[in-house]
Amino acid sequence: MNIATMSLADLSGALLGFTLTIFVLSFIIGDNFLFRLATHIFVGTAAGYTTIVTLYNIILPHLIFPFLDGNRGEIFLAVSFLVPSVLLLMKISPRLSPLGNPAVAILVGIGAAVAIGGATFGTIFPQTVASMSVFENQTFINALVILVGTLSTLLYFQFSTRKNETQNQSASLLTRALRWSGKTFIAITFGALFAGVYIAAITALIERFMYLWQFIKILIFPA
Amino acid sequence: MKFNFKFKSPVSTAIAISVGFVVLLGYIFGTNARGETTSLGFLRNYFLQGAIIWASVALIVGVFNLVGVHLHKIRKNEGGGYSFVLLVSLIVTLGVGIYDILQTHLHQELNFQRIRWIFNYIQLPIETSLMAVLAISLTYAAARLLSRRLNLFSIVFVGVVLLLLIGAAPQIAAQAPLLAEFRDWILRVPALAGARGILLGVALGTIATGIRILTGSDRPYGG
Repeated sequence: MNIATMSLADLSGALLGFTLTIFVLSFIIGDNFLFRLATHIFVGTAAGYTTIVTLYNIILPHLIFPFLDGNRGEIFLAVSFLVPSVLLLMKISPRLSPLGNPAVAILVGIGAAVAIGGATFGTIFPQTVASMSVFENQTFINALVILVGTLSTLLYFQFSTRKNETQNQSASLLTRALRWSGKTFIAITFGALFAGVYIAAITALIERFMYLWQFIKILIFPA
Repeated sequence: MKFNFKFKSPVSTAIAISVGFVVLLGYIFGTNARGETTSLGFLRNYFLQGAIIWASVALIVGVFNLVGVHLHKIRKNEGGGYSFVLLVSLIVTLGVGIYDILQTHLHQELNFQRIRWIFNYIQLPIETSLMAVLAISLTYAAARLLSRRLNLFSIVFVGVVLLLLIGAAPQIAAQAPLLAEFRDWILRVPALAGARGILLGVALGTIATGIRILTGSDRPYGG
């Protein structure tokens, strides 16, 4: 990177990125005005950018362009998508908001069906098949640990019954031992996830410090 | 003028249930024995395509809501300065994006360098810096966990985190191959078992929630 060969847009962009990075990293010394300013700028630009991407990739091609240069079938399809879209837009106004309920109901119905389908075909079936074939791919001890870990973690998630002291005491020793074991497996899994996120965050921190150092180096030694 | 339209149950509920069942049945009976798409499959595809479009329109409604909330804050003078900055950054991003879309259509070639500049020099540095700040927050959170809730599970959690972090360093892994092996075993066996149990638990919970919506027990669409 050489300051002499950088365009004005790149140079001003790099300076802006440098300033915003300092603003966000100032959170290390505590919550402050600069950090909050940067986060509000971020929310504004992120909302604007997402809107533009959505507008260009989805709304214009499916709801607007068919009326300009589409055939009869495409126009009919666009109208069928447009009617619930207009109803959804009613949600902007508090007075007209109830008109948007059927459109939200369509979205919720589709979402629920997709969630059930995704959970069944994307998680339950593959994970169950993988659990069943664990004795073929692992040593006996490892397979046993995986099986006990999976079952005890599942047992720990018991959402079907309310918490009841007498019921808790009467739970068999085996059930309590399995729940305790499930809690331990969850602690190990969350520890592994935490370590993964921590390594990613440290990598981002190093990258940001490198960026700041590179920019300062360019300013001090422009050649 | 006061509007009094109310799309309450059973209209919205009936819509959600029927659309949800069509999509769900489309998952199962969407193709026939010869692999051809059935009428149910076509309907499912239509609703899935519609869901993408309606979710995009819902995003636009969300942006309008964001603008409304911050305009209200400016009027009430509750952190109005930050809200003003957010609205300015949103409007500027939207303006630049719409200008880029118009340029693209006028010249019939992709012309998004201005909005890309905003993404590269505003959004990306702030996002990466927020990820970097997460490293500090996570360190603080782990230290607080040990000082506030010292029990077997928190010790297991922090122990696994430290072991995985130390084992991730290449020099240490080369000096202590047993440690590297143990780290690998933790990731491959108990962490996998816990993750599988959690995944199955989440999937079962998702299915339960989906069924509640499809049977009309839960009506999050204002029905």
